[in-house]
Amino acid sequence: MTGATSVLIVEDDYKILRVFSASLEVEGYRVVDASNGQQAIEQVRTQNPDVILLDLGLPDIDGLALVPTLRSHTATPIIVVSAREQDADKVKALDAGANDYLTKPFSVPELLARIRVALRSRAQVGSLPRTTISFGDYRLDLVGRRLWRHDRPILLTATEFKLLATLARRPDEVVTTSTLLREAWGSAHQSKKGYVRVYMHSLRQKLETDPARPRHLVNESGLGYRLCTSQ
Amino acid sequence: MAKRVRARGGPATRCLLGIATAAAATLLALWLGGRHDLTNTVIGYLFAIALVSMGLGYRSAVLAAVTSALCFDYFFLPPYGSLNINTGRDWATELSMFGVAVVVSSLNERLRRQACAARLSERRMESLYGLVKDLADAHSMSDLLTAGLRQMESAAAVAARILPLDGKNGFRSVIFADGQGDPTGDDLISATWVADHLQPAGRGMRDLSEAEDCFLPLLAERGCVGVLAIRPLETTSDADLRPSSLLQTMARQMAMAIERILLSEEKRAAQIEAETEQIRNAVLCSVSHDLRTPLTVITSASSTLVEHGNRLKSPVRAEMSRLIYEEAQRLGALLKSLLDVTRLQAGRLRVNRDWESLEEVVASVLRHVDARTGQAKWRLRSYLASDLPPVEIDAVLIEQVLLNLVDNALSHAKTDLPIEISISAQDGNDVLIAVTDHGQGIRDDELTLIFDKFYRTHGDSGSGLGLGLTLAQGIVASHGGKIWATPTPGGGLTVQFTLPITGAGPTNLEEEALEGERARAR
Repeated sequence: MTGATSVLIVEDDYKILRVFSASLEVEGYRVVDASNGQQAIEQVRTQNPDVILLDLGLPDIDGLALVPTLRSHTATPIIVVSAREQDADKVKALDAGANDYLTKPFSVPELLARIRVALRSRAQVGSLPRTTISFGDYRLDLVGRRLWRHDRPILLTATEFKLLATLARRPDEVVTTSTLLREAWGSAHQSKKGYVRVYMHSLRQKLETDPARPRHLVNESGLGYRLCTSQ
Repeated sequence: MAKRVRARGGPATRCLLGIATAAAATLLALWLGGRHDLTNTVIGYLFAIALVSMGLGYRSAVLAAVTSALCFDYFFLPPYGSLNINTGRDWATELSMFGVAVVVSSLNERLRRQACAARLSERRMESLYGLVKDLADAHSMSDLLTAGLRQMESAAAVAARILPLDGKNGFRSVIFADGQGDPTGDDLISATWVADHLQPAGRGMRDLSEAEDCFLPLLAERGCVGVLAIRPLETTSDADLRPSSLLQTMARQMAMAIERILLSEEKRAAQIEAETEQIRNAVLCSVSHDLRTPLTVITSASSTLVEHGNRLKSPVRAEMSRLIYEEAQRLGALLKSLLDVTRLQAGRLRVNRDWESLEEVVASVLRHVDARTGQAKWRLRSYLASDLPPVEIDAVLIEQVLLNLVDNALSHAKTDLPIEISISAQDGNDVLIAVTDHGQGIRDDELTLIFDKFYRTHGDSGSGLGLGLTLAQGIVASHGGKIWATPTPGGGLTVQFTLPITGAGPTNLEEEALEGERARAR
């Protein structure tokens, strides 16, 4: 074992695997690979990777079914990789505990960016829950339930605050609409996705300088939302 | 004379009325001094009996005739006050009166029966005509089934429902005259038995007689196409439990109509299948060239890198790699549009509708275009009305439509003037979305042609396949909207589409607003 950050790639296509490992190794990551679900579980147990890159189309097991299994073994961030036809599976994987997704074909810089976000979220696992989260000019006080822009408070309704807090607890990761509904409204409101849009609109009016080109509250069509913390 | 009474009330009442009429005729004749004029008395009695037979039926008429004969004998034939008859002439009068009365009654009865049968058959014809007309007018299976059931329920006092039999899947639903639902377990068991044995069963039948309904198989040429369940609204005797011949005829008509719809549905499916095949062929022919171009670049550039990589100067190597990357991306985009269009045309495009905000869809489009083109952001502008209602759409697909329109505008309007996305609500029924460019536009005759598969505008040497607008049109149509192109005033092209506003979507609750105000007041 070296001290380098390790990435587990679960991918059945050898060529794709080679390209990814080469690109990641250049960046200084240690790559562990698995070509099927069984190996993936084995590698997670023995190698304890820092990030898991999981292809949803695996030969022996549905990648989707693997997400909860992996989750039961480890809190390591999981990034699911899917073909465009598996859009619906993507949402299910995220709801099942995956942290982020990538759609094939994607470029290596995209992959690296997602891995960096995932690693940051891993760094938070185990540490004390954060009480304030900063993004852009804003500071969200999770305990005092306040939002500050520089030093001016911004008035949020209860629902708006819950939505923002849910996004802020997983900065830069995509949070599905149904997760937002569950956190902000409770589990009885799973069919009311329209409400999320309505409240996200008012939230954007309050936070974004140009709501037509939001910088922080970014919508991922068909999936959910992402709170972008970088400028 | 006795009033004419409709053949109504219980049989006992009617018989009593018959006797009473005869008695009344007797009293009237006595009062008028009928003993001195037996001829008119007899005619009076016959008249009364004829009236009874017309109004109260055969049995009452016979009773009236017997009563009349006895009364005539007792009161009008000497010796008065006795049933004895002395002379042969009186016997003849008595007997012929009784005989004529019976003959008149039976003639009347026969007439009545015929009229009754005629009325019944007229009603049958009316019901059947109504059914056939409704069945012929129905264009979809659900229309047909509900229309047929409604006709049956109005033709006979029954509650009817149909379990359509889907060849592969068995009984999946149950259709009522006013809607549909899931079949109950009992229904499924009975319907499956009926479909297997092709015989009616259920209440009043030999088989499954403990069921509450009577189940009839709907038999067409291909076999059983469904099962009709009938439940009489009024509890009647066991003999009446079997469905009338009218209902059976109606069931046969229904079966034929169902088969007709099934056939036309199968024909349509076959057409789609054939069309898909056609598209596939057309795609293979016309697309191979477009796909081969980027492939050639990728193959040659990468092989150069493999063979001579270390002899190439670094900028050349970078150039080759960049070419591979760009052409691979282009190839990916081409394949994506091909796949999308094939899926759309094959009817396999899944539309997952939900309440979405167009503001977000546009934001997503802007983000994609900004990131991909790296163009200065002023090239793409959005103008959204502030009162846009939420719409029920598939956000991913509508985003695709907008992306296609914007891409077209970016690549064809060879100008630096900005491209505009504008959205406004139209008269409460539709949202109008327009993508406007200020380029050189297209020829008027091309305004409709551009939506055709593989059509490229005059002088277009672009890298697309000519599928973007076809796909956009298909997606918009699947949302119940329209898409069309117009010249932009002052030059350029505007493509607009509508999306229907399907109802009141979710709104920000006033409660929340109030809460905000309260917090402000604090």
